[in-house]
Amino acid sequence: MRWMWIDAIIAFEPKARMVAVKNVSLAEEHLHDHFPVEGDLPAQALMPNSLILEGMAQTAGILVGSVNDFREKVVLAKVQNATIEADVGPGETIRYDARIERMDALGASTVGVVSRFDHQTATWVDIGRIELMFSHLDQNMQGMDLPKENFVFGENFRTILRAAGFDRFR
Amino acid sequence: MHFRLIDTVLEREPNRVVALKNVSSAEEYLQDHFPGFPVLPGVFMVEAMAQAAREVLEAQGKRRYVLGSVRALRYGSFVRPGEALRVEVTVEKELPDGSVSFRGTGTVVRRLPSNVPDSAVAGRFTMRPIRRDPPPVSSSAS
Amino acid sequence: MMPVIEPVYMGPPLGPLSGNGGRGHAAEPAFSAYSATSVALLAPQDLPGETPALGNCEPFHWRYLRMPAGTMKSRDEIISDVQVVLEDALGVDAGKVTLDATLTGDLGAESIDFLDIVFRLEKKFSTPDRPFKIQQGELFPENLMTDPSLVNNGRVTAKALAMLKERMPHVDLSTFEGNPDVSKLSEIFTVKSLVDFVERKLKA
Repeated sequence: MRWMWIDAIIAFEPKARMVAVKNVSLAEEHLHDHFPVEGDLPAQALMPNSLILEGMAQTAGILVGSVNDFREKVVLAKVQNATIEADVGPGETIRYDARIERMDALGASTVGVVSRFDHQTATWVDIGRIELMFSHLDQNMQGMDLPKENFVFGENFRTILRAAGFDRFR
Repeated sequence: MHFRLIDTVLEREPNRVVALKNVSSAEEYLQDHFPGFPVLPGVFMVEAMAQAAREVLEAQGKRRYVLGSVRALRYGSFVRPGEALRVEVTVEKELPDGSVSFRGTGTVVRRLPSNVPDSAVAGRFTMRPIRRDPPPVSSSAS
Repeated sequence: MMPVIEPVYMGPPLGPLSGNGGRGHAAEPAFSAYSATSVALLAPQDLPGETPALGNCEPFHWRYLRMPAGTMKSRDEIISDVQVVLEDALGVDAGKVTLDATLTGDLGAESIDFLDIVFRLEKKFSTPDRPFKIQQGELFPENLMTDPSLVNNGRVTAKALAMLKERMPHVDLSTFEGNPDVSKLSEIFTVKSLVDFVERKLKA
């Protein structure tokens, strides 16, 4: 399992808003455990909602990181409020629409809407709202010396950013 | 990867479960989270709490409940390979729409003594039956 | 040279935060749109002039009085708003948020929560014609926790204490002064400190 819970960035307004999508596919191994056959219950593949939370965290995290050109190590510090009202299955697409609500040197708060696209009916339906807070990892946090390079925004993210047309950041 | 985020149940009561998740370098996603600095992702701590909550609910006959919401959940210390996350979830109440609210905490179990705080995660969440369509707007929100 | 991220744009202007045909999750703008008037609940004795006898007035005439935007909130309203902010930010039940409850000891607040509280207070007490903006270090002494010249051997220096007293009239420092252990600094903040801070700032 690669730790990449968004597939493509489809819109970006610097320092303000980012929209990303994730396709859900039966080729993803974890769907076969969530859920497998359990006694009389048949197998039912559903995107785990904790990973939907991660998709929003990655979308909002890139947005927050981009404000300072990815120099800071931005990490999820708090889930203020997250609600997922409907579940997502294979063959559907999840859309994460994240906006920075407030940001200062100590951290940022973001608000996002989660929507689900059904390829059969070709409609988007809003299924959730997620509010998150991010802070910066200090160099000497928790008694650990952290690697100097910004490991938070690694190669996976840069690939997605380049695919979306951002090839000018360092 | 197999999507099992709890390895063993340590304590089991009608409204409370304590469970353990070992963190091992053998878990592949750690290569990406983060390169050179592997730590258990925060949402996997939430998933561990949700799976522990499911243990409580299954015993009550509430099968296959999924994570519905998360509220005021704070992250603290990291959990690194060789360490474990001990989650404790307690039922708060059942809500009118059929969901069940929980309080959950996770602490880091370390092999060596440390003076870094051991709270890794703490917050509230709800579990609800699987739902393919959002509830109608007019119904009371939980 | 500062690297620039070019905006990627596709299609019509980015509209309100929402997918198509959202059900139940219309997004709100960053600051809630406050209505042009705010409604206050007043007891008869708070009204200027004569209090009408209960028997001969319209039931809601004296109970709900529309006030123009920007009118000062009463201390009770501020207390109630601060309580809601803390319940939401800290995930605690209403009954725990008493005036003398400490944020860290009684309500379990951690450092990220302090920032969350600042952001939520700004949102709660801002109005369209009067933003409520809290500067860094104005409510919680963040710079104290990070500036080494203000701390000596784990104890807050006298100079820093004086600065605290001057800049944070909303906090009761009398107990802390006796043992100014910097690790205990966050424990001095109570619900009442926040209420006092908001009241002072709204009056300014």
